[in-house]
Amino acid sequence: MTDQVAVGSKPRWQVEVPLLAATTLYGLVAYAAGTLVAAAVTVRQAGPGFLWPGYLLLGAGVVVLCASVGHLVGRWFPSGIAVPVIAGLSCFVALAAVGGPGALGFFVLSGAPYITVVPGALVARLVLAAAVAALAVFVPRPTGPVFRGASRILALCSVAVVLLAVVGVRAAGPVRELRAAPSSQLCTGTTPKICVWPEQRKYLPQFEAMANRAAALPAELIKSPASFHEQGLRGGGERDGDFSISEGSMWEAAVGIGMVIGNASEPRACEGANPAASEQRFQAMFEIDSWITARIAGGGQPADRHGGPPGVDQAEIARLVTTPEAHQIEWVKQRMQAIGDIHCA
Amino acid sequence: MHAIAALSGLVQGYGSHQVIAGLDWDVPIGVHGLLGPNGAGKTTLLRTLATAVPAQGGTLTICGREVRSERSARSARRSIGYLPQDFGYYPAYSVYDFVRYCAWLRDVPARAAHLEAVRSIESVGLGDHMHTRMKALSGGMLRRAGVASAIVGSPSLLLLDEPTVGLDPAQRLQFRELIRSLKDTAVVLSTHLVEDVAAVCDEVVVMRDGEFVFRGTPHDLAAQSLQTQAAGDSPLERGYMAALGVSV
Repeated sequence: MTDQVAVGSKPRWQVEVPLLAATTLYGLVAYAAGTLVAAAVTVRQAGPGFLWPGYLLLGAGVVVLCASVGHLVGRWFPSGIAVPVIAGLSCFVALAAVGGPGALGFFVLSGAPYITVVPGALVARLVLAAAVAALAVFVPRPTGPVFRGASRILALCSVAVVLLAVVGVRAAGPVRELRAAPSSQLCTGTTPKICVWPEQRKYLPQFEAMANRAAALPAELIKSPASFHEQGLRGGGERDGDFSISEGSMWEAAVGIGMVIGNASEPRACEGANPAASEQRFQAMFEIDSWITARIAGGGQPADRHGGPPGVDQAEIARLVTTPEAHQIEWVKQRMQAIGDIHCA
Repeated sequence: MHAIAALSGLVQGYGSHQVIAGLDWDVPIGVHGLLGPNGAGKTTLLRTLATAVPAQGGTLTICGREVRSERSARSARRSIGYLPQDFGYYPAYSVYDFVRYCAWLRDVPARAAHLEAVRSIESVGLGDHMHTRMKALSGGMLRRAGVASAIVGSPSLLLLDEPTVGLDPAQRLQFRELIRSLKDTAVVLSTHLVEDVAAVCDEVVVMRDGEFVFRGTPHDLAAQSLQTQAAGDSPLERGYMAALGVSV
């Protein structure tokens, strides 16, 4: 409707606003639906404050930003499908390139409990999203406005506002910061005990099972600490020996706990007398760590998880933990012996 | 007679390519046919009158006010109904939505917009298709929906670029009736169909290479044929060809 819009009596921005609003609404409705579904399936098990408005607002800001970019760039393409395609693609590229936590900080739609959204930095990003929306509204289409003047001034002002908003985002700093440790921790009633942030309450049953499996490790070989803590619970952000629950993965938590148990049980790590000795020593340590992880996780590495200590056959470890206890003890003893036989340099 | 639109020394073109050089035209109330071969500058002239492109030179006055800025153009546009040759529409819109949206674009007061949209749609014979989606309309119906969008709000200046393309004979007759029924309106009708001009126009203008080569009544144009041996199957066609300087 290029010509009809061009000869309309409405100021161009009044025509653009409902068009952009419609595009944005599609994105926000989809985002809200996804959020509601996630909340609905989580709310019963989740702890208090599991849904953080800061991340939701940041996500909504990203939707507005993407819709605005699509609206802005899509006008140079005749196809009606251009706006959503460009909105999706440009935002994917832009967020991947400069949206990470280290840059503009838009690409952080969730976070671990030990970090929190900084209100000032969040507001700066929302202002940027609003500024880009204004840009999409005030920058004239290739076919109009017919007479230049006020519309050009508005467009230039909106460009300036976007630039100022970018400066504001950079000045506001990272969108996330470390969160203060909670006054009370949520721990399993087991020995050893495993403590998590209140927001992770829904994982407690799995951690109780994990703690019981840790307690069932052969005590003559394995020495388990009395407690394990999720990252940040003891203050100061990430700390060696504390585990994290990455994307809800109990395996990742088991890896963290397994390494702590391994460090407490194995001879002190050191370089061997020569590279081959060092390699043998670390290979044995890695294998024991992997075995402990598989034991406390209740099985081998899940198919959706990859990586792990170098040189360790995870499939072999998964088979090992299904063998009789005596066989596993013998296997661990051999590796402990191997570690002990290799003297430190 | 009082001119709804007036052009004085109009210069128009695209970039360095000049399409219209120094055109004067007063458009009073009545129906004005715009004839001319392809590339004569008819659409450029209509778009200029519609304020879709600013004049490169000269002045354009709509309803007594000169159009010189976006603000004055917006004010003038409240008085202009324009149907482009290839008009756009949102396929998912119903006919009513489309016409109502055009009413909104033209600042037709919200209280009147509904009735205006309904009246316009009914006047082009699409009353039974008020809620049919635009993408489901035939070519002729689509054209009529376009005409409805142009006349909504009863503009003082109605600019129609090839409005009868795709209409069957009965629809063309209905269209002519509609044009005749418009009172207090200056209608500029760009067309290739001289029958339409003969049927409804008070004035006919023939353009060639951005200039008016004839201005007069349809009767005057037909009379041109008496002076030459121009080609054509009717006196008006021969008069048109004569005005263009095309002989047998």
